[in-house]
Amino acid sequence: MLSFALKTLLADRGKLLTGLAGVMFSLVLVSVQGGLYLGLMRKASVLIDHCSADIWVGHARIENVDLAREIPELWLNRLRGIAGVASVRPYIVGKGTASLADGHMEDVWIIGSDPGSMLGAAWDFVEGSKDELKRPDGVSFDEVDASKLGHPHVGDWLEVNGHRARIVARTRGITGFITMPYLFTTFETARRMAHVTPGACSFFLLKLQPGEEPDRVLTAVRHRVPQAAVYTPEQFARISQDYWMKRTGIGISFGASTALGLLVGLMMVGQSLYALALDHLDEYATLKALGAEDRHVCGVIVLQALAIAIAGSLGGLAIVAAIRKFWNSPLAPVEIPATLMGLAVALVVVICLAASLLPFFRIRRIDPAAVLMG
Amino acid sequence: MNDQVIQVSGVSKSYQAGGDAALVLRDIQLNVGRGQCVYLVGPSGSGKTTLLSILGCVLSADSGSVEILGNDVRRFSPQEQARFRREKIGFVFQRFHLFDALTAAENVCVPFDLLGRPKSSSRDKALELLAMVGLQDKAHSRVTRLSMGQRQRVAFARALAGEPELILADEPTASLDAESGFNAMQALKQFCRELDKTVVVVTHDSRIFCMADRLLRLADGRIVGEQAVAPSAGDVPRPSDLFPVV
Repeated sequence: MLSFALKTLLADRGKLLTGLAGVMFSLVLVSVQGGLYLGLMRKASVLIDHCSADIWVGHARIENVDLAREIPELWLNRLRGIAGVASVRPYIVGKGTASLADGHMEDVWIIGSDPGSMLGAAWDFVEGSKDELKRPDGVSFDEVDASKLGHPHVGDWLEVNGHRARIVARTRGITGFITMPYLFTTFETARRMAHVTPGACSFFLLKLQPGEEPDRVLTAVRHRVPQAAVYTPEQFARISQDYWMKRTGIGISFGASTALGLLVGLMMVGQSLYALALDHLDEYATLKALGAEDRHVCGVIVLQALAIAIAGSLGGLAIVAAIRKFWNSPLAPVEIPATLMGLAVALVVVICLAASLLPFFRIRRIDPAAVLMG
Repeated sequence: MNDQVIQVSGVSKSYQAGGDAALVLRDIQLNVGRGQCVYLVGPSGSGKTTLLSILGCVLSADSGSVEILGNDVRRFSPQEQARFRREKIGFVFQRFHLFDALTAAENVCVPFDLLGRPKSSSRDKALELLAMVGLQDKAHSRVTRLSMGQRQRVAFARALAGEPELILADEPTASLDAESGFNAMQALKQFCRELDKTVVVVTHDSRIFCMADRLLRLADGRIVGEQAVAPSAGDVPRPSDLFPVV
C-alpha cells in the first residue's frame, strides 16, 4: 500500500503542494512564534542568565530581577558565615534617568557589581571591558540602545540622575524585557547614580564552594535570613519570566496566534487530503472490492498524511533555520531550541493525522459494490 | 472433497427505488463446479451484474443461501467479506479499474499487499504474472501509457494475483475491439484452465460465448436457460500465442 499511497499523492502535485504549504506554514508559525516568545521571555531574565552566581538573595517580596527592592547590606555578614558559601557579593539593580545632550530624557537601569569580582557585570563587550567599568563614574551601554542614548561613543559623558557618567565600554546584545537601556558599572557608582539608600543593596550574589549542594545552602540561607527571598538562578529566572508573562498576558496572545496558525494548517492539510480522496473515490472503491478493509484504507491515508507531514516539516525546518539566521536580533531574539523544533514537528504530525480523519470517514462510506454496479 | 465452488439456492435481491422495491433477482438456483468457466448472459437489467456482485461478496442477497467454496457468505460480517474477497476471489472489472498512478507491476502487487505478502516475493510473482499475459516488458510502465488491450491483460494478471480460487469478470471485453476481446477471453480461459480456477463471466458479447463451458441466460432476474458450449481443450490456444511479447 505504500506505493499506492505515495504515488497517488505524488500524481496530484497541486493538492500535494497545498498540503505541504499547510504543513510548512504551521511549522514555521509554531516555531517562530514559540521562538519569539522564548526569546522575549529570556530577556526578562537576561541579568540572571548571564550571571555566574549560584544563589540569588533578595527582598522577600521580589517578583522580578529588574524591579528590585532594597535589602540591608548588613545581611552580608550573616550570609558569609554559612557553611558551603565561598563568596557573597552585593549587587545593585537600580533605576535612573539619563539626560541626553539634545535635551531628551531616557529611563535607564543602573546595574552595579562588586568591583572585587564584577559578578553580574556586562558581557559581550565590543569596546572596553569589565575592568574599564571600575574607572570612576565608568558605565557601559549596549549598541541596541545607542539611538535611545543619543548615539554615544566610548569616552562620551552622560548625565544620570544628576551625576556624571563616563561611557567606558560598549556591548552588543544586552537588552531587557521592557527595553530600557542597561548601564553597567561598579557597586558604589551604581549606588550613587541610582540613589540607593546608604547601607542597602538590591541583591546578594552567592558563589558556593566547589561540590557544594545548592539545596542544602538554600535551606541554610533561608534559616539564617528568614526575611529574604532565596533562589537558584533557574528559579529566579522563571519567577522573573512568569512576572511579565502574567502581567502582560503575552503568553495568551502568543498562544492564540500559534493556535490560529495550527488551525489554518489543519484546514489546509485536511482540505488537501480530502480533495485528494474525493478525486480517487473510484480507486478506493476498487481497493475495497479487491478486499481492502478500513484498516487498509486508513493505512493509505495515514501514510499520505505522514508523507505530507515529513516532507512539509523538512521544508518548514529549512525556513525556520533561515529565519533564525537572518531575523534573529537582540531586540527580537528568536530562540528555537531543539525541543521546540521537535515539539513543532510533533504538533504538525498530529495535525496531519487529525486532518486525515476527514477523508477517512468519507472513504469509509464507499460501497465496494459501486465498482461493479456503477 | 466438495467440488462445487458456487452453490446458490433461492436467492432473491431487490433494490429500493423511490420507495418501491425493484426485484432484480428471483429465486436463483446455481451450482458451479471447480474449474468451470460459466458465462452469465442476458439483456441489460436482467440481473447479471447483481448476481456477480453477490457471488463476489460485495453485495448481500435478501434471501436464499449463497455458499462460495463451502462458506455460507451471507453470514459473513463486512470484514469477513473483505477478507474472503482478497483471499479467494479475483476480479476483472468492466473498465478494469486499474490504479492510474501505479505501474503495471505495482497494480498487480496490490492484491499481494492487501494479503500482507512480503514485498520482494510479491514483485517477483507480479512480474511472473505479467510475463504470463505477455507484458513483461511493460511491467514498469504506468498503466495510463498502456493500450486498452494491455490494460485488460494487466487486469487479468491482477485478478490472478493472490492465487484466488474464483475469478469473476464483469463485461471484460466491453472496452476492447472484437479481436482483442476474443483473444483476451481465450487467454483468460486458458490461464484458468492451467491454474484450475473457476471463472464466472458477465457479458453481452456473443462473439465470446463459444469460450464458456456453460452459458446461463438471465431475463427479468431469473435464469431462464442454460447451454453447454465448451470447446475441447485442444481448441483453446495457449496465452503466449494470443499475446505475443510486444
